[in-house]
Amino acid sequence: MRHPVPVLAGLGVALLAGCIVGIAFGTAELRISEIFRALFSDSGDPTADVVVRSIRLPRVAAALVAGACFGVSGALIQSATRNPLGDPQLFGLGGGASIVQALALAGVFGVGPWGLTSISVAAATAGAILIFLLASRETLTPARLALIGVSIGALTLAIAAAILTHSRVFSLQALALFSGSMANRGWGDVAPALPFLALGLGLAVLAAGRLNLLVLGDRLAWQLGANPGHTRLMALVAAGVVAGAGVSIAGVVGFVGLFTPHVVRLLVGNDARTVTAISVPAGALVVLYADQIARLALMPAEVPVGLVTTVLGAPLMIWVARRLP
Amino acid sequence: MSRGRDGSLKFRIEMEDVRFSYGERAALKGVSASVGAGEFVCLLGPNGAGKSTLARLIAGELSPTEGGVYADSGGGEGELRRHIAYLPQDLQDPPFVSAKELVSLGRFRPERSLGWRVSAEDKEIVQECLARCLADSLADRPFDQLSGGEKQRVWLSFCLAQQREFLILDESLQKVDYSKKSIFFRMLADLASDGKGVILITHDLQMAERYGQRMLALRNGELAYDGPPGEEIYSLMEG
Repeated sequence: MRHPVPVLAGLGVALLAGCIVGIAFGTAELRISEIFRALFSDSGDPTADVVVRSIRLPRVAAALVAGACFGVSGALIQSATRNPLGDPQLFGLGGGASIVQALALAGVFGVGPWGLTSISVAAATAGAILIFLLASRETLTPARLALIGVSIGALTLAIAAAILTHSRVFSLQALALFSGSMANRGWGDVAPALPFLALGLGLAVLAAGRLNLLVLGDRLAWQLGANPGHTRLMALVAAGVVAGAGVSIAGVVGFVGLFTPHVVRLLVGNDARTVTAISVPAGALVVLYADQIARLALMPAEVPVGLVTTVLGAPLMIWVARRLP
Repeated sequence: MSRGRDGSLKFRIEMEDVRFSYGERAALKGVSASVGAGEFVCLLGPNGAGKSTLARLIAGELSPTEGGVYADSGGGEGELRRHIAYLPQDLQDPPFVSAKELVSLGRFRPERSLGWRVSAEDKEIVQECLARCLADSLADRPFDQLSGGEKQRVWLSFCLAQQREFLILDESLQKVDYSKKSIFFRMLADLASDGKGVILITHDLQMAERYGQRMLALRNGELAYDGPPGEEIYSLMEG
């Protein structure tokens, strides 16, 4: 295993740089001094204060939290199901949460952001438990599990689309749900996800010690003293909790959970504990940078952040799929 | 239970009238045998005779419908599991890991799971096991890119790295090159000489006869032979 500290340091620097870009650049042109004053005191310029504190800063935070959620969720799913194609969106966890979001956009739920996030988390966790039940069958190959997951994911997104179509919701919000977006995210969107991210990470820590053994398959993991079913359930519930939290912020952002753990493995080796831990900042970095491309590349227009991550992730998925047994 | 030359505890695996059924189909119909540390036993029999079922019962994966499998030191089936390194056949390829990382998992200590690290001593053991199984050149290659025979050599290294008193190997040498097979049979015989108990399920009667100390043959779920290697085993295995 390569040492994770230099990688963590590099991620820290890159995250800082991404945050600076996220706060400093945008449609409204602000001077560095105005940004600093708006960050650390009252700048005296209400426009600068609003742009920095209420638009750019929460958007950066939203990208960081959603990215962390998707990154760690993918790492947990890949380890728990022994599947290189593990991803919260591909396996339908995000799809469950997107149905909840669609129902909310259609006006079916009369709940606030906290309630909506909680229901999204519950839906994604239910999807995770379904994957747990499927993945516990020793005879199910990774390719078959991926196919089932992709089918569940497609079905859930179709249901969400049907809900929006039936309710005649064709707004930018609907587009943002299916393609992922950080536009107009405020602190009120970020805050409800934080306790679930913390809960998911706590569960991940409980499972992490024995995650490595799951690659051996349940029979050998059991021989070595693990309880593979218990470990897998814990890891997948953690993955569901954070995936639901991520979708409640950003909608369906594809491929982050798929390719982040693969890139992390190239950097730090294959220890599941390290891969899970490093996927938190690495996922945050991926979505943060993808969002900067999404909002700055065609400024003042924006593209959905999910389009950027899909352009990056699709070739990698093809590469990974070709190596599957 | 007794002590070996090196002072370590030696015990026997006792199988008493072991019966097991998959639903209505009886796979084992009352098998009684005893295998001790220091023995290299080849478990033989035609397909469907119950060999793998017996291995799974000894390893604790299955519980007998009737009868029992015990360590003579007491403690029941849970006691056995701690002393046995078992390699089933038809394992799925583990993703993400190199051959060396896979063998290192054999050194896993569940009581230190979150803080477990491969120690310097573990690394030496892993290297030694890979070398012993002619797999040291494969150490850094991704496991899922190895050939069938190479994978079996790495799995065998993984089994050795656990350093348990008993090895149960279910057709674990089947895909190894014929030219290397005798090396592995000799290695298993040496392990038995060093005090380990080895039960190898194999269809290679010639190798079993040459290197095994004892043969157990199953036929239709019953023990058809228990004794030293001999010519009569060939007739038993026909059909």
